[in-house]
Amino acid sequence: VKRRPTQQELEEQLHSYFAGTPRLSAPPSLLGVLDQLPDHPAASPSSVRYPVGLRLAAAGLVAVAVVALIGVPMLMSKAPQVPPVGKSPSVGASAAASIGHPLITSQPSISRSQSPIQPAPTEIGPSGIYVDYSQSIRADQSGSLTVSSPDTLQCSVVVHSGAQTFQAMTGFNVPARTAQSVSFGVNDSFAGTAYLKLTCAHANEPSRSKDSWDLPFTVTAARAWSLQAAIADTHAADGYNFGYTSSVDATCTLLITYPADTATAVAATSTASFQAREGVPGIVANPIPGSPATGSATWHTTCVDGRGKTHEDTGAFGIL
Amino acid sequence: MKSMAHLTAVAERSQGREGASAIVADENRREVFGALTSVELTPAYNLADRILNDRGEAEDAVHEAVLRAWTGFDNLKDRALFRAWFTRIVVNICRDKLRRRKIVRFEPLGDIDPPAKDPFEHGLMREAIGRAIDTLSAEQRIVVVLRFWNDLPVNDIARIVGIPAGTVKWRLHAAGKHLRAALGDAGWEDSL
Repeated sequence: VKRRPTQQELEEQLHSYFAGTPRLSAPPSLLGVLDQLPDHPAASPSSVRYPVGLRLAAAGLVAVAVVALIGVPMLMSKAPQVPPVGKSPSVGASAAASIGHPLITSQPSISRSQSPIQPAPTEIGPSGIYVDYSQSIRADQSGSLTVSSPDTLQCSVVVHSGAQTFQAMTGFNVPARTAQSVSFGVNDSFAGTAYLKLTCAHANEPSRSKDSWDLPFTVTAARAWSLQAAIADTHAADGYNFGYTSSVDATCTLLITYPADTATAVAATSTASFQAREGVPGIVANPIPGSPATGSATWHTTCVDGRGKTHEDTGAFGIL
Repeated sequence: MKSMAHLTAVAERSQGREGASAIVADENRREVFGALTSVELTPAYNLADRILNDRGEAEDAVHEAVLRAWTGFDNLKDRALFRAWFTRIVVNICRDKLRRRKIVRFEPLGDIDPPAKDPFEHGLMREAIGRAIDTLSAEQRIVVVLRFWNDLPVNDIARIVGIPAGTVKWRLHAAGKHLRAALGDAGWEDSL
């Protein structure tokens, strides 16, 4: 009978769970960060004190600048120039394919030797914004987009095919000189060319520097799920091997139901977990710990692929 | 390590006395920051790993936290509060990363198949709890990790997360309710 654990049981299990997790040592790349700190961290406004006269002069300069910004365009009766938005996809495609730049050219960068994604970024637009992204993904898998810039950016990303929008992400912040990555995907049923519409603005001057690009990527058809699996007939004392080959990467749970005990009429079950790698045969080897009876046993797998979709499969074998 | 006198001399020659003072101050700030941060890296990495359940992301989070802390180091008036301040930065970055994950669920699988588990071992319970924790919201997950992994009292969690103690209690309560339901659905009795 299923029931919920009590609060006390839950707390005991949580303490036990976290106590059992391994204590990790900070990787060398983190230790190295301290040797690569920038020379002069930006002083906060609150920590800088100017003389009164200087502050008044600065306020005057700000006032002049505001008047100039607002007044000059009005006097000229001309709308301020807006940077191009929604450029042709071909611009991004050719740039991404042919040009390679160092991550940051104008300011010192801090390398991350063990970053999960090693960017080989491409500069897009005139604003010193660098991107690296997966230019080909399978519909049932995810791609990644990495953005970096010498300046702090605020970006949004829309994943679309022109006809339909798959994802939209706003408020994607890119701190200065820090590569930021996000993963993206499309619907499983889609195949063809899709685009990452990346829109970024320099955080401090959003109206001046907002720009947008369509970055194309190819989507190949999702791989159909299939699991070939079997357990050979076996004697109870010999144990069993569950052999499988999955068409996609997946995290699986295996449930085995043994024949019912003739005395109690109760069937015993056991479970095990395994991680299936795409196209790689695997074996879950396990002794049957005292199967209560001989007869027909069943196995049932529940697998979750990398996108969170669940697949189930069932089979039978005999215990002799 | 270059001595202060050497740094002063070099700086005076190249930038004048005012610039030299700035460089020496910066060097001193760097040493203090390095000493304070170096002891926090491993705890911060572990904390980020528990919150994010991804070592690569945890490494990125702590890396980013170090840079953010360095940039704002002058704002920290009381160096005795460094640990709580730095932990708060780490937690904030982890929260941002968890929220960003909502866009796409992307969980890289390990390179090696884990050894098959004895079906009757206690490990099943650990897996069920791990899976249940993964379904918590970012806010709930953070307070659960701070409470049950860091063993922090509610008031300390409130200070680190920057919310009232009552909100911490409420989030722990909501997380507990969610976890108990998830574990119940997963067949708690069978797994014991």
